Amino acid sequence: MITFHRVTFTYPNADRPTLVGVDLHVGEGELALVVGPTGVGKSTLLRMVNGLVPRFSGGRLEGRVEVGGRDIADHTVGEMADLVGHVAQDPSAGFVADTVEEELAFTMEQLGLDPGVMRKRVEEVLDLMGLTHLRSRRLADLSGGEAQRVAIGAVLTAHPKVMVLDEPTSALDPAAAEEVLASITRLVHDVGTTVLMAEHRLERVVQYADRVIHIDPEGRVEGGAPAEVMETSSVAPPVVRLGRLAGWSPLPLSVRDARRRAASLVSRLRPPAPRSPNVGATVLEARGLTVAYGDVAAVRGVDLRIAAGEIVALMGRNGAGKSSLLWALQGTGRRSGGRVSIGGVDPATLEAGRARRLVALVPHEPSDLLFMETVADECGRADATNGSPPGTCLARLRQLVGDIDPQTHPADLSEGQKLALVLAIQLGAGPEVLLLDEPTRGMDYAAKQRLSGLIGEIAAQGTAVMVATHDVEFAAETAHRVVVMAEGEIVADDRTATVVVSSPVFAPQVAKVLAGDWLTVGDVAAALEPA
Amino acid sequence: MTRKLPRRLHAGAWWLWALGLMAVATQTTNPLLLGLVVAVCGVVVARRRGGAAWAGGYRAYLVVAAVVVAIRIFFRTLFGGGVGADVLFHLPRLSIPGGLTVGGPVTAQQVLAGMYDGFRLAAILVCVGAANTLADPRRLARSLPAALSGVATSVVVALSLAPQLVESFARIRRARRLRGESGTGWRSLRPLLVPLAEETLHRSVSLAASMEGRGYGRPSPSNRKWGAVAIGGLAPLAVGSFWLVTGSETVGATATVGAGAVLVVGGIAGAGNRDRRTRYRADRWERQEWLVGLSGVVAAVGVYVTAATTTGVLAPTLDPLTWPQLSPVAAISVLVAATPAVTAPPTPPVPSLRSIPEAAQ
Repeated sequence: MITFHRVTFTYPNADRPTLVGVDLHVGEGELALVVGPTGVGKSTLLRMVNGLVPRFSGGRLEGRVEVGGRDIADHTVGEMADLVGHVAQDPSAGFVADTVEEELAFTMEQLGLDPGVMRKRVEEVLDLMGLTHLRSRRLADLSGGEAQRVAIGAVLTAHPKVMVLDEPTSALDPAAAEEVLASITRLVHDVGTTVLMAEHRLERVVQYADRVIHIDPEGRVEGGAPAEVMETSSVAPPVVRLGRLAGWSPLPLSVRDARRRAASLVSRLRPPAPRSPNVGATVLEARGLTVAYGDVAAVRGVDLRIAAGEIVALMGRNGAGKSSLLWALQGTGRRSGGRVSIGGVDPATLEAGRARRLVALVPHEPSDLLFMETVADECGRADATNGSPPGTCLARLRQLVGDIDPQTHPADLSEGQKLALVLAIQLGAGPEVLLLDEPTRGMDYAAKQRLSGLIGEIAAQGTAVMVATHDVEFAAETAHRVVVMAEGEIVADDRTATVVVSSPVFAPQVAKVLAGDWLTVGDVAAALEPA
Repeated sequence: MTRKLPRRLHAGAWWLWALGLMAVATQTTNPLLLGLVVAVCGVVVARRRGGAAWAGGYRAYLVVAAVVVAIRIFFRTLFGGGVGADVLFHLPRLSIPGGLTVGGPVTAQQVLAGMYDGFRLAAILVCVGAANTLADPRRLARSLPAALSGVATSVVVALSLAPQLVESFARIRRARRLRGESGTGWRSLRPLLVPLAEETLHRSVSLAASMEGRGYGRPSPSNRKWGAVAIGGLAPLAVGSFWLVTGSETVGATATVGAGAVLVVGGIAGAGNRDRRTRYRADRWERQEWLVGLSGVVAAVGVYVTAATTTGVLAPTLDPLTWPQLSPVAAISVLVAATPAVTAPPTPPVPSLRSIPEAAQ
């Protein structure tokens, strides 16, 4: 269905090609998963399938890309619309209509389908994607998972033979991700659509794939059966890394595969070493914190304490009130009731410059805080606001992410580097409490590992840290304590192991496989007795 | 008669109705007739507006209309120059170099002239407001002729983007505090504008990619020829209209306007026939649409007839001061425009929305 023949692609002004000599074939009805570290050109590969690359991006394409018998060199992006449905990373940025129903019809209108056919297909897709109850909703009022399903549905109405999905679950909580993946697998099984999908969170998708396409940092592409590719892949979900550690072959791809072989491993394991954070006195205390928007309470009477040096993960569904809670704790966000005290002072009563010496927040979109031309300027301005000697911020940034060209424009940094820059700026104020909102979006396993280590170091210096995240693996790796929110209330608050192991939604893969208190592959490696 | 089921009336019908009332308002300064127009709008809006987001703005139009009247009266009082015989009171007179006088005697004529004029503008505003409240402007764009559907789609998309921009702005403004940025002047604006501009640019590019990927702007069999015809017709239309307004030569002007209009309509129709795009659940034009649209036309025609047959009704004289008169033809024809309050189908209820705005999350 999709054939890449000796494809090499170079972006304009790039000194080396993004993809080199790609030979690839995806058969009809296959679900192919594109994996690789951040920034290796997964999106580039996906966007080639309907010609957005190179027609929209510019750049030089050598070789041939053929989809359903059409060469993308001979067809415009619009002419591929009836064959290829492309859903970009941020679905809501691509919405063109006002309501769900009109959005679903847009592609068909452009293709000039008969109104009767359109009406019927919209109804079918509403059912297929489970959107019936949302049909006349405004798109702006959809949750993340709903928006993602609408975006998939909107290209599906044109009955494309090929669907291209760029990180369809990256912004979603575990339950919403399951919903979206269920819809995608239904497409593959019932409709026979060929699906090409990129995803960082392999633990969610690798077991559904018929074929895995791995891109390495040099831009070389290798495809094959999932278990084979995972043997050597530079990115791998915890269950695969566990399999590698235990020397299982073939590698397990799902928790179920691994669990059947787990008994022999568990017998070789010592009980996990208890995580004993070097916790000091309580730094942050919130009582009866409430945030209401109109009649709806986003946060409802929350009591919370965080101690110095402690790392707390804040989890819960999209829209459970996590961000509202972080903003209310920081003092800038709306607060309808309750008190927050950090060392006896409420940050909401302080002016902005002093409040951030108590509590720093890294928001959901770190780039909201970046507005200078270069990294050096950003750091210079931060030092000026923080009243620290020039160079402090840049030195901290280097400490966080290694060498970085200070003349780079902040918009050209990777997600991980942007986050590190904002972190360096915010830490410059020397806050007692650090709040992070969903920091792992768009990060590969290595970047997450580094971030996790970084947060550990920050906490070790006595800062209290709270991280709102959907990423159960990251929470298991990083946090001492997990707080789970639902409908604005705290429904669980305990040691990480206690909370996540008992929950089917929040349990990390390793805990599911071994059914014990080992949460990460690192835990298992440490507990493994020499055979 | 069978029960009228709730349904969305064709947006064009509401706009035709409102245009008729607007035509009435432009023809007259008679406060009674203008009051009738506003009342008719009010009744129809109250009976037939839906609960959707765009329907909440009617009150704002009323407020703006009231402000317009107040401003007109204020300026006429201040700069009116005491035209007319019935002096109400005196303001201190102030001469500004250049021959302009401020203040002086204030006459009933000048205040009333300001008021009537203000009423007229206010009535037009209220008509626009009513049309906007009754029909989603986006649906109107969707009902444009097929030849304009490309433009219409861009307009619809732009209208949907505006609220997102407001949300981004609010989010970024909040984020500024996190960095401890404060102060005034350009330095304080930069942290707001740069991220906003970046995000807007980024969003536009992804939107363009998404639209193109979904077939927007697919080449259709050439309709350039017809497009050229339509655009070629615009020139005679504009020149003829200018002639008509300046009134130098009526016959030639009318002929030019007619020729231009034929070219434009023909061009649009010709291009539309070749357009491949279709419309999902297009608003249908049925009997009720006719009733609503024609009621507006009747009002306009009635007032034109009044203008041709009577004097002093549409523009009541102020010197001497007289109580404005209402001719039966004009009054009844405007009242006909109130019939949509009964003849139009009720607007379907709006589904409940999730009430926490995404930006606030």
